[in-house]
Amino acid sequence: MPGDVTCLLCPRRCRIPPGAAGDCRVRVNLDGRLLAVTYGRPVAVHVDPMEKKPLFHFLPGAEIFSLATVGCNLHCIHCQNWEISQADPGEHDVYDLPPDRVAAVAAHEGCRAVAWTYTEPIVFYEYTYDGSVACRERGLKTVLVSAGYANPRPWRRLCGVIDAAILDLKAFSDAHYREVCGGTLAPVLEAIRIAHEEGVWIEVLNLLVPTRNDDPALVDALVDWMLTTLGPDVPLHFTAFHPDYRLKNLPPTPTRTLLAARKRALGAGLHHVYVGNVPGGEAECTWCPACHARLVHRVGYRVLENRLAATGGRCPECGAQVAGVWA
Amino acid sequence: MDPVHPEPSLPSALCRGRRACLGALLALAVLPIGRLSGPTPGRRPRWWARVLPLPTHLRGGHPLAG
Repeated sequence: MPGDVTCLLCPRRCRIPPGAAGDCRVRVNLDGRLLAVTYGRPVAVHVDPMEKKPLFHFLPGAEIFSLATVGCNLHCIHCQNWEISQADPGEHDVYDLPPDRVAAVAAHEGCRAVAWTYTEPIVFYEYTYDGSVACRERGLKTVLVSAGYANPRPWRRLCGVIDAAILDLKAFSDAHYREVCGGTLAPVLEAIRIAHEEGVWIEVLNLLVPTRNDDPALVDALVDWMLTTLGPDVPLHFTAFHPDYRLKNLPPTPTRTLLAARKRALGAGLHHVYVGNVPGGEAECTWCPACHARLVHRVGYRVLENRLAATGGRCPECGAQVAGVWA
Repeated sequence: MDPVHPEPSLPSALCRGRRACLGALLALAVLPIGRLSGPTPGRRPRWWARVLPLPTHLRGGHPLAG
């Protein structure tokens, strides 16, 4: 129809009539111009531990200024932040925080990094991009917490201003993406590959949902793809599902499922595999891939000891270099 | 003489049409389109929100994941 605009940001390629929004709810056709109406208007602003993202090989123990606007281009039926990810921009009160103020407030709070997180930073792309530029100008690191459901061109451009990313690979199954998330797998794999290629420090997250994506064959396929495409040094986090939103009929992921997945991934050759949402235990700690010494001791979101900060990432026991950004 | 491409009889054409309809209905029921999409395409969202001052205490115990 005349006056429609097509958003090229994500694989949905929404064709948006005048006055209406795309699938993400926040990208609007206003008088023939595509406008991200949540620009500079976050709905959630917090100072979190880096481990909550969860990034384990990027400035362990640092505080990170974390923010999000409403909106998402996926619609996972188990979304833990659905109140804001699946909301219209007008449904929640917001803060006035333009990009330069994000950097100023983050620095004032003593944070070393800023995270675009909680919902999906792709849908507030312009805010994420401009905010990341402003943060870098102040010497702050920039972090993306994303499902990577983006088109290659804008994604690659965004990677140019991002230091680290935790990328949510929901399952190594296109059917899972279609049935549970309302998306597709291939664009996510390509986004993860591009981020790695562009030099962003990445860690991959896989939330295991009982009966949905906890089949050991799916875990094996995911791990094989990571080893082949990204190499053994990219950390993988298995996290536990909790019943939420429209998927309350399933039980939480048993700890034994997470630990079994970790064992398979380590056995296949990944160097760093973690288990999240289950505090305590060796699966939260970083171990030297060469001599198996404990290098970062974590309990929950707390870092009790970091032996890599002073050595630039070298194991103090055997001298092996451990991949990551440690100080 | 028999035609090379005979016209289908009315009952068989109806039958084909009914099969196509059933196929389309089945596809709509099985495909996740619609069930997991966002707002109805073309719907006008509510996007003007109330702007609040930033809280003074930003640390500690927020339930949001990520």
